[in-house]
Amino acid sequence: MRVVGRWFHRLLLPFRAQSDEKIADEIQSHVALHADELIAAGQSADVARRNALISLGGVAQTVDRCQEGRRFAAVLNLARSLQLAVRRLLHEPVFTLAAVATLALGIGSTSAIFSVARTALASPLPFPDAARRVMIFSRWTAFQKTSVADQEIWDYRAMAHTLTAVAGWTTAQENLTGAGRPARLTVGRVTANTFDVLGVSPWLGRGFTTEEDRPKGPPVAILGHGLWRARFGGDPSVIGRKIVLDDVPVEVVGVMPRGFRLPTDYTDDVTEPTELWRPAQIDETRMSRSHGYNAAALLAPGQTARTASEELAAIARQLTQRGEYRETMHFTAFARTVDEEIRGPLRPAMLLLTGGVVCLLLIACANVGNLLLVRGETRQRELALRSALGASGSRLLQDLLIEAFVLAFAGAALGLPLALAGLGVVRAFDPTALEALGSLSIHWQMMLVSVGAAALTTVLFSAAPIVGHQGVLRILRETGSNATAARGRARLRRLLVMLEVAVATVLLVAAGLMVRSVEAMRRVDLGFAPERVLTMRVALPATRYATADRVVDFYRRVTEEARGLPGVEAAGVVRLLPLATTIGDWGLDIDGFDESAGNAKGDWQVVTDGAFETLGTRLQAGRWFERGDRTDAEPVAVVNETLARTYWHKPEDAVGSRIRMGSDSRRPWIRVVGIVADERHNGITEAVKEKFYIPFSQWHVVTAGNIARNAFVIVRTTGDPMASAKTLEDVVQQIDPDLPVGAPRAMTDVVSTALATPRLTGFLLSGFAAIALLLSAVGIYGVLAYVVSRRTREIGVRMALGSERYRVVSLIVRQGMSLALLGICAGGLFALGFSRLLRGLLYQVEPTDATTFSAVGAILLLIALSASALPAWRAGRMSPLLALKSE
Amino acid sequence: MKPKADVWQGTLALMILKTLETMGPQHGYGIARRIEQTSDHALQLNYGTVYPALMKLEQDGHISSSWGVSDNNRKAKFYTLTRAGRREVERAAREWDQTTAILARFLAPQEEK
Repeated sequence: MRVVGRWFHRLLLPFRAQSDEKIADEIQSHVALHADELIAAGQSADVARRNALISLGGVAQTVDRCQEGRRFAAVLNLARSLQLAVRRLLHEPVFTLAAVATLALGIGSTSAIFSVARTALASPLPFPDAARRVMIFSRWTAFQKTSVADQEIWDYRAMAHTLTAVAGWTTAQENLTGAGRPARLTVGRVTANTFDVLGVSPWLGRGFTTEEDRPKGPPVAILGHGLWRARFGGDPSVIGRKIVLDDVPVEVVGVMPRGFRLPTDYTDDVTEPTELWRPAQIDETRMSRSHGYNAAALLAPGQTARTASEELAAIARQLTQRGEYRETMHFTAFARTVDEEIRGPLRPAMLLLTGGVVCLLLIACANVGNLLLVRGETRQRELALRSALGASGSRLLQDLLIEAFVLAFAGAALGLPLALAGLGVVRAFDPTALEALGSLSIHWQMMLVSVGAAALTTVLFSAAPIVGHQGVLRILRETGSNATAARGRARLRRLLVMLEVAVATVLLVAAGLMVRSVEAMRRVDLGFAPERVLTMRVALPATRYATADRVVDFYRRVTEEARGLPGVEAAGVVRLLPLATTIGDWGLDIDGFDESAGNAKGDWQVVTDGAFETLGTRLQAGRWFERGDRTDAEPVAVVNETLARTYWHKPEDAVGSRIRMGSDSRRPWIRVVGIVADERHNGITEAVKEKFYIPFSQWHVVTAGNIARNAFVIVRTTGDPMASAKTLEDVVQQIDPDLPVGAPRAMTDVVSTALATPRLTGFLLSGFAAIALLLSAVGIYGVLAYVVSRRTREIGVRMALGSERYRVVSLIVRQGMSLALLGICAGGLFALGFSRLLRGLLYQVEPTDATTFSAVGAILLLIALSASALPAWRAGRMSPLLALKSE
Repeated sequence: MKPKADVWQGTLALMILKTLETMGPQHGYGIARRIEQTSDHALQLNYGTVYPALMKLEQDGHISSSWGVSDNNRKAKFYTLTRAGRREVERAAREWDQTTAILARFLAPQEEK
């Protein structure tokens, strides 16, 4: 290592402050020597010293001149070395291109994914001390995880000691008018303590008081920072001003800081986050146990989400014992930190992608290492020659290292645009949840990590030939003879290729499993046909649409007008759009069904006639809703197959039977007139639950007064659905000019958003796997091509002695295949162990899926075979005479 | 006193190398003094210019240095010619001979053809 040490010493010499003192010492000694002579010649000490300084030209000036000269020389030296390195690399375009491209792929993909993962897993949430803030959820037989009831918020406040404060909120759409164009906003209806529980106070003005959070309290609102900037020009005097929400004047009392979001704005409301907040004004005398509130709480000091969950479960048991819930419901509650709630769902995919990209970087480094080793081998002669001509070892090492740095930085320079393109891909898959957490950009620290790894590899493997040459590196050296050193390097190269193949196997298995899983998700029968369907959200303000008649009339008019539009095949209105919203259930009475085994229930959907046809829902029995199903006609319902199967021995008997909303005998019986195929609503992979459909025209009748004012207008078009967006907006504006409409979306877009994360992971992993395959093929090819060139003589002898061509060919191919096989086996074994970690991300695919594993093995063997083919073919075509003459 | 000549660009390095070749290891002051003496004080040598030149020669590997003690017991840095330095002296001296010879032909009185 002495060579390396000396080299570094020389490289660093011009930049070391310590050596400046040495220069000064030397100059001082010069002055002293000169003065000594002058004194000896008879001058006084003072005069002698002054004269010595004069003839020198000053100590400081001389030191300066020395430093200047030295730095200039060092820079010049470096510049010349760089120039030479670039020239040498350009002389070998194939090697340089391969190495730089490999490095760029490795650096680019790692930088992109590391940056995305950092945004997803480590960007700060707008809540200080987020570990102490939890969300509370309920669970019972029908739901794994759902919201809480307002009554429960009060129960938890009174009974839980692990929680110091409990807040609750709902979100809804409200129309903002009077300040420019009417706008539809997502509004959070929050309890007064919500901002305290989340640890964020208003940036301007104040929060809500408990007086304002009472029923019939004054109408007040707090604006989001973005809304304040966009709608009110960032004017601080907005505090105290009145704005109009759903036709009611409301006083602005505060503005929240930039970047504030409710925890639900990262999850359920991520596509339309809340922009404005108003007091929930819950009436304590009329609270219910229907689960419609989001709840958050502040943990008491020393408590964790786990201890809080234990206490909540105990409270839930008490509530059940008190008779609030039926035993058969198995009602319970639990807490989860806001951090876990927001990032938890992203974590598995992010970790998988990070792992995948680390594998890719490993392969890229192994490949570049291999290329450098092969090149180093062929450069042994050149190095020996230069060494004989007087170039010092450190000089050769310096040249090699500079080349290594040039390669690494060229790789980084090309990797950056690749990384940006990678971010573009991630953005294109619509990871709304990611964008909410922070802007997706390349974090330079993350880029530095991958460039560092690349630089280390190139430096290490560039130094190997010369260090081996000097007999220093132990692994390469063995007994010290040059031949064994070469053999050692050959072994190192084979090891690298095997490692490459092994890592590629792991990547391919992961990618294969994800792709098969995404395929399985795609094959899921949605129960409707999303193609050519346009959707648009509307929210009718309760003031102007106070009665059910007005609401029903609006939906009827919109549907009829939309049907008349050119290019529209069908139109309708649905309360909740599948895959874009979550649907909840409502208790049912079913004529002739014995409820002793458990309550009958169903997810409640409200639709107009035409909605089924528009969405492409399939009718299995009976009939659709028709225009004749008016408010005054007999109440009718359509049920899905699951509901019919659950509550009737013979599902087809459901048609003609009767159901009733909830256990309230004042509500009328409803005639089931049809059965439709199951639709996937709450998620593509989620199990389908019992579901029933009621016409909007009869909803208030069958529920005795409930009105559904939030809904989606849907139309089926003959061409591109988005092309009809403007005309549909105009239709709504004509009927009610003050009614804002939500962003129109194609139904296919809604479906792909629901699949965004698995599709993204599947797509990226496949990309990584494809690159890994390519790099492994290059690696195998490189090693074999080198083997052939080294064994030319031996092959010549074999052929001269009468060996058949096919024997020579099979000799080379066998080498390639054995490398590949060993790599595949090692990687396969590792993948078997590790793929279990993927289980949570997979759908209808086993982590040890035999198809995937055998396909991966077959693909890799095929790639190895084709990578071996060219060198083998070359060996087989060798003329024995020429081969013997070589060297 | 006749006017002193400036040191020509590039010649100082050769003078230093040649000095070290004849005198063996020497410190900066000694080298500077020796150059003055050899030139018979005809050169206007600013001592301060010797040190950057020494530094450059050392960086190029023509000389090496180490600290030692001078004749009158002062600490001083001594410079020694390296193998590469010896070759460089030969090469540069040859080049210089050539240059002066060529120049001499120009400056010598023109011979009749």
